[in-house]
Amino acid sequence: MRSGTVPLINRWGMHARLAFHLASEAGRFTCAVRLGSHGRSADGKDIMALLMLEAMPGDELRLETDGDDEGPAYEALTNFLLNDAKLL
Amino acid sequence: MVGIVICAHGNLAHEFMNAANFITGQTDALNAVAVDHNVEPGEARNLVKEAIRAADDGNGVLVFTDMYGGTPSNICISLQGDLRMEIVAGVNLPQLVKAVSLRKTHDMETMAKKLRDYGKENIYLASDFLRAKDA
Repeated sequence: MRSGTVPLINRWGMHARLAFHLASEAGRFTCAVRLGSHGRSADGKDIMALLMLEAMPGDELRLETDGDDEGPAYEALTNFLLNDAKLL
Repeated sequence: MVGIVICAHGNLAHEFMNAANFITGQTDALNAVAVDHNVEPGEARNLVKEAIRAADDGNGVLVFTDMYGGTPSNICISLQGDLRMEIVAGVNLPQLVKAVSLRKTHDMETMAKKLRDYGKENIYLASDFLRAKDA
């Protein structure tokens, strides 16, 4: 398993468009993806589960990937959160 | 891929489609057809039938209606024998957004069952969360 924290750097925190694209990015991989915030943990491939995290701008998200392609998934999702999230 | 059509009263279908398109950034996944009570029943049925037929690329069409028993839903149900389709009555936005993802990997029948359940599961009483935080 790969795990670590990634800051959510954007204007709105977790919101519908971001959650959809984050879940879609996670869905490209076969490994399990979980994101955590405020003591909650969510299936990273499910838009509504991500929205339920209620993550705010600047929150640290705990990212976990577990499975065959956990390394590429971790890198891709970290990159997505650091770079793409602020554009959505 | 499975086609998706939203069929509802007045402008509701198009507004659902617009909102879902804004979230997903995809504008080719969803189709909307309005049932307007100013239109003759036969013409309304033809419009709905054509919209569903146009959305079918051979993998069937998942039709979301706004309310079971309403005219849009009744029209769609009346077409079930003519077209390859499943109807989910009682559409909400979580279902539509999820449908855009699922259509890439799931067949029509599986999508219909999953999205029926997904729609139910994602209705919340917000005050429950506030109470949980205060506890």
